[in-house]
Amino acid sequence: MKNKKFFRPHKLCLAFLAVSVVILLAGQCFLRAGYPRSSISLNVQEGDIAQLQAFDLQGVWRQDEDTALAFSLRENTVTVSPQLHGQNSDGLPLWLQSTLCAPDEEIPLVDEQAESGSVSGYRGAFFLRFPYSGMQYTSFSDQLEMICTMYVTDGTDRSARFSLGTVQLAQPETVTAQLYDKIRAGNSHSYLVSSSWLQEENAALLPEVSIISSREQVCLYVGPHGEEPGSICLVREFVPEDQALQQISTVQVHGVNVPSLTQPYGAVEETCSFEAGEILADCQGWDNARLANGRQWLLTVDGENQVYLRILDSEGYPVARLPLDVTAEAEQTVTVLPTMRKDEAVFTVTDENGGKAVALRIEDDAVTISNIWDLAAGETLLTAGFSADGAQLMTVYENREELNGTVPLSVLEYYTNTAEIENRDCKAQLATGWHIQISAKQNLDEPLFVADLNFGIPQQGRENVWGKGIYETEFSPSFCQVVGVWQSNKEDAQ
Amino acid sequence: MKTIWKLTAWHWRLVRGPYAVLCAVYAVQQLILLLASASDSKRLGYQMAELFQGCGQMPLFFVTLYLVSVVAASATRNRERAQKMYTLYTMPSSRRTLWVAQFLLGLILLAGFAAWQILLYMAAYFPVTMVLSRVAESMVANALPWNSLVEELNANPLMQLLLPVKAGSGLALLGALGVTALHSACMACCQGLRRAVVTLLALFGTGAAYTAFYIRYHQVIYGTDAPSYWLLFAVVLAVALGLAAVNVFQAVWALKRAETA
Repeated sequence: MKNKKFFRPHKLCLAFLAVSVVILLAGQCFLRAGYPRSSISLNVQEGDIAQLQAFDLQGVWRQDEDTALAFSLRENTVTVSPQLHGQNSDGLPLWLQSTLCAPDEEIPLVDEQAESGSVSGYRGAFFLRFPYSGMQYTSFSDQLEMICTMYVTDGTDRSARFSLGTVQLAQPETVTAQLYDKIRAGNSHSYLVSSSWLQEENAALLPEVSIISSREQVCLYVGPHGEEPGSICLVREFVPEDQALQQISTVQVHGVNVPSLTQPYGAVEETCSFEAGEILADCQGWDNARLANGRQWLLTVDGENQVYLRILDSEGYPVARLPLDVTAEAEQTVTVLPTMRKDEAVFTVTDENGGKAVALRIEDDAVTISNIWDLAAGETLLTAGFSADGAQLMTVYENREELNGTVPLSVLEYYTNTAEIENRDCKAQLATGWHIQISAKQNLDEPLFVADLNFGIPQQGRENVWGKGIYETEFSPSFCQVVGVWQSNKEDAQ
Repeated sequence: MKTIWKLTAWHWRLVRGPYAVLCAVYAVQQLILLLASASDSKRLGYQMAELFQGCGQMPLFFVTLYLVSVVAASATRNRERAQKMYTLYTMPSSRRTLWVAQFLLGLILLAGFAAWQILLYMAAYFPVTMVLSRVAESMVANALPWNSLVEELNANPLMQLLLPVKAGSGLALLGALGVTALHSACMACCQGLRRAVVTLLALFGTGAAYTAFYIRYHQVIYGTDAPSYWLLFAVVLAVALGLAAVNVFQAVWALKRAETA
């Protein structure tokens, strides 16, 4: 006989367990659906996705200062992986290496010297070279020194000091590259120092010195001075900070003790002298001007604004100087872009009315494939590249969107210590993704494939809009960027 | 196996009352804390995940998780058990059946509590966002944009822990719950002073397990492969496993002496 009152607790227990598991699984499905990795979507508007097979596009979507997603478009699929956290993640040492100019073995040391243990965001670090804004006496008249300060986005900044031998810089002899870990407030300054040359009437005679590359070795551009044309110099050696500090002596100037920064701390060699009238193009993004096997390419401009491509070997010696079918006027901006292959070069020459984009494939001392096309006003090219056989060209443009917002009082108070701004409405242009296009090399007007890679607008997007409302300056959208082949793995950069 | 399962089910019935009370109290506490934080005008512009972290709810979750294991262990001290007319001596199988059944019970209750937390978070999203909006409306002319529920789930580290998207992270979660259930089973098998000692060791053991769990989470999320992190992880994990081993030894000894009879 069946006892209706017989209680079977295991059924209830099982039901409870089942409900719990279902909730956990359902929650996981829900989260997976909304996880940022899924919000990077590739919407194909036209063409066959198999066209992507010939290309390998990499990017980073930075959600905020500490979290980021790296993704790649390879073999028709978008692969996304969260990374770039902390100082030992995959990408970070590369950035550190590219910006701090420290030998590999010193990178951990530099990390230790950083303000906090979780130094991140080296991506935004760069050298700044300001006009002369201060003066520091030295004990000799024929010495020239420069201090560059580079910001890292963790709020600290580092300084690199270069001491460039004699003022006659046709063949500078000495250099030091010393890293400081001081935290500085306010703007950074560079100091061009020489007790005899930094007088106002002679200031114009000082050659322009800038840092072209600081990856495998420090590469400097010394501009034309007097009768001497400009040249490329490579820093052959530099001493560690502790040794450099030991060599700094103190001198007395006008009764005040100041450090003498005049000792030779290394060696510089001029490897590539320019033609008369030829100067280095005023370019952004020199870090991207790299080729395989440690080679480098440069853009120079002659007196008639003709652009030349210079190829340097791994030792910095010239391999080729090739005229390009493009000119760069003084008011135009030249930008070197990250590339998808290690044998390609991409750059743009633009002004407010648009401009030209140039993609080159370089083999040995020659350009084997090239393409030059027009850019419309407001178009931002992020990268471009040829397929393996060179028959197709992929272009990646930035998609932008205007976001509106209102700065909350708490945010306003936090950043400005005031809540007095009445109109807190703000709007800003934000990058929302990439517009990818693949075309036959000879016919860019009729693309074979068109797609949009959308990032979505993360929290930082709104904060950027607020930043516009608070400071009335538009923050650059830093949360999505193309990663060139040089950032793809550590071995390549070493 | 059938005996184990039946015993687990009976013990589940014995503790479901206090377990439900604990869950209810936790729900009320969480809702009050979140709503109070949301109504604070100084936190204007915060999102729910930030509030959740800011008000200290995450450590409270782990504390309650430990309390759940204590509640699970209380099954062997329940008065009703005598009414059900069974003792350790009357069980038709090995005494270790009790330990295994308590382990399963602990695991079930802990999984249930994790699921409860997810439900609570989802349910709290709407009132908390509403309060945030109300506060914002009174201070800011235009409406502020709010994160969606999915974004809030994604932004909350506790939700990332409870809803892992990688197999390794899932195993880590299972491991943390498993260690807690293990301690719970050990507590259940001991009596008297030994039980007090085991309960105290379980507190440190589960604390170490959660810490190891969080360190691993930190390693995965932040990509920190530094040797120092691995060393810390190994040390904390060793402490958690060591304390678990001590408690298992105590439980085996207690079972041998039939302390819970």
